[in-house]
Amino acid sequence: MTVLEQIIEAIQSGKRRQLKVLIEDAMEEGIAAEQILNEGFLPAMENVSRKYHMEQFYVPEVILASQAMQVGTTILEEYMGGRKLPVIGRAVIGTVKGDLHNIGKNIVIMMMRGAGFEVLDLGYDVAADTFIRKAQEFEADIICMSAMLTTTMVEMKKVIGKLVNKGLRDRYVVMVGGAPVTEAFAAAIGADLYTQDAGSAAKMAREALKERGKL
Amino acid sequence: MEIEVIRKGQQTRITGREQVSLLELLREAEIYISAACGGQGKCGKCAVRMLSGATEATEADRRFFDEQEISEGWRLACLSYPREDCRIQIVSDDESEFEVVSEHEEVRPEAETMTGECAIAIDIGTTTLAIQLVERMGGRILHTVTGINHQRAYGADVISRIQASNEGKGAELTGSIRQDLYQGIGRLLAEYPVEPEQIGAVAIAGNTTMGHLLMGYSCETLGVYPFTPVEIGTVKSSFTELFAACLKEETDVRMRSIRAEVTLLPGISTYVGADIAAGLLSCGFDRREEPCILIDLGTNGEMAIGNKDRILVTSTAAGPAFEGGNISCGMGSVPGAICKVKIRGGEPEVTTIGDKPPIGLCGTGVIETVCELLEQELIDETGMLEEDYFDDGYELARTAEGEPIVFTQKDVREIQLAKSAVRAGVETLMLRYGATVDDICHVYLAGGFGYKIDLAKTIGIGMLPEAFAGKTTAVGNSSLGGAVEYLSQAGARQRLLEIVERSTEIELSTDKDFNRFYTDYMFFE
Repeated sequence: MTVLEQIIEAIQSGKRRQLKVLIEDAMEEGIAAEQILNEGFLPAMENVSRKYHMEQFYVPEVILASQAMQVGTTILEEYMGGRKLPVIGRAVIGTVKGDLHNIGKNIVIMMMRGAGFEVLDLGYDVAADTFIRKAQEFEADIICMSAMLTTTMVEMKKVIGKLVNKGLRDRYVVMVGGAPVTEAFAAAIGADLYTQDAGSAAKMAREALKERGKL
Repeated sequence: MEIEVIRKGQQTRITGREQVSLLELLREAEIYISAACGGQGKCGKCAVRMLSGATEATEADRRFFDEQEISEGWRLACLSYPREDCRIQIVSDDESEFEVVSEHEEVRPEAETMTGECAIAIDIGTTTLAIQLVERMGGRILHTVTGINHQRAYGADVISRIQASNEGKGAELTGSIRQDLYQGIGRLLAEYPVEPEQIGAVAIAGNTTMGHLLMGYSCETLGVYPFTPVEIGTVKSSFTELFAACLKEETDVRMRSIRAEVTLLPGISTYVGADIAAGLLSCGFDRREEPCILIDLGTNGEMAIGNKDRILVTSTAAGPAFEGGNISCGMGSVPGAICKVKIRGGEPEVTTIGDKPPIGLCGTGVIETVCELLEQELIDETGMLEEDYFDDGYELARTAEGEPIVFTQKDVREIQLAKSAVRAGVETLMLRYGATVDDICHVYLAGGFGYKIDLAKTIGIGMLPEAFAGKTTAVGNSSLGGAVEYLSQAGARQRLLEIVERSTEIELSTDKDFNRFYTDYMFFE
């Protein structure tokens, strides 16, 4: 197994300590950080996502893999002497107003960072106006919204409505997710993207930017 | 004949009589043990160990105990009729613990006739309802009826009920629960000879959403942060007022004669309601010097830590897995549900409730299964099921029709999520309270999750810390127990208010430590 393959394996199984050693090995072999990212982190993330869809992985593994991914991202940046990894896009993300659920959203953040996004975490109980204001300030490409309650997911619709009213709707890719959210709901409120899990969220976000010619 | 009773190392001698059951003899001697079913050999709570002079095992004994336990002398006290000298051991660590377990189940020595004032205690669960007729003096349980909360038609959990209410179904939901309670009370009266005039009071406990729907309050603010309830304090009403719609069509003069005052007990917050406050009352948190923990193993996973001075409460998204929900072959605790699992020589051996042919797994069976699979190393520490069972799951048994009852990879994952939510909640509560596992003097597990749960297995799957071994008791429906206490014990009203006042809620979903614990305890280690 090549060191990159081992990195994929380590992320998938959530082995953080091992991952650190492997990244060191890879750097010593002269593999560039970008390559580690593209040929290590990204395939790992796609594997996690695929396994999740095949029900081989469930939430626990995704959480562990995403944590490993976060550790890996930090290590890579350290090795680059503080130089940031190449950013493929910018996203703001938060849990909608009235909802305090954090864990799922944080997994998505880790996955997206691993996929090369610069992500601004708006936290939880985020008001519609805050989503929009922060997206503008951060010059985001993507607005990601999470909701874990059927009683709060309607907030997503509010955000999209406000974007439309302000004439900003086309400026952003709007992604939604969370346990009660469905493809049908996402379509009904006029969101651009819905994914079931964090791994595909990061992957789909990349593809969405490609489609828009931003990547 | 002489019977030597050993409890907590203390010996008492009582005199036995032919044709009198052990349970009755114990009651006469004021040695109370739990007997939820009233001594019919149905609930299994009156288990005692006969160290010598054991009576012949009955069919009921064989239902509740395995062969080894039978040979060790385990018997149901209610069906054991000693005919010679014997020694029995009552295994309950602590007198006060016992009181808690049986608080609402305790059966006092039979009164000749029932003349005093009665009251009705009610627990409104999201799924089920329990209604008990009790004597106002002393709290003797006279009769119990249980039923289904027909609001289930509007969704299984509180969030879906809140949503239904918000979507204009509020009046229907209110009508539904009032109808359910009214019919339950009707059954109580039909099945037990009590005069309607004797019923002086009704006390109702339930989660805050159930309380809101009963009273017809708006649920708009319950489902969104900051989760403000319309009313969380004690609510007084009357039978005629609350059930006016039902009474309008009533022809039974007995129901029309009830003039009871109805009290909806106070809760602590939207997600830690009157059911938990009542549970804290029945577990006597307000009398404890050392901190105790109460965990309600239901979907909302409410829990509390505290003593007489200070209580912290919270709720965690445990989900319905411990009640058999979201499990591929899961089911409630009904006859035929697998409740005990042992894998011997690679072959699973299961025990079902009522020894009926297996039809599925109840919450206890789910916990037992995971524990066994772990012990047999068929699940690794990450929760991965052995490859052979990956596709079709591990077969535990077959139904009478030959359908396999399996435990799948997804089921393991459901349990991982549920147990880590509970464990992380417990760990966070202890951290915020400033207590370690060793400081905790007792742990109460409430809820209808299991049938004769083996507490060691809750530790085996990592749901509770190992240090809780030996100090954990399953208390069943502590909410109902609290409502009974409220109605029948002097000072209980004041105690409940003090419990509510001393309780502070902490929010877990935004808690960094909780999130860390939650991922840490996902593993089986």
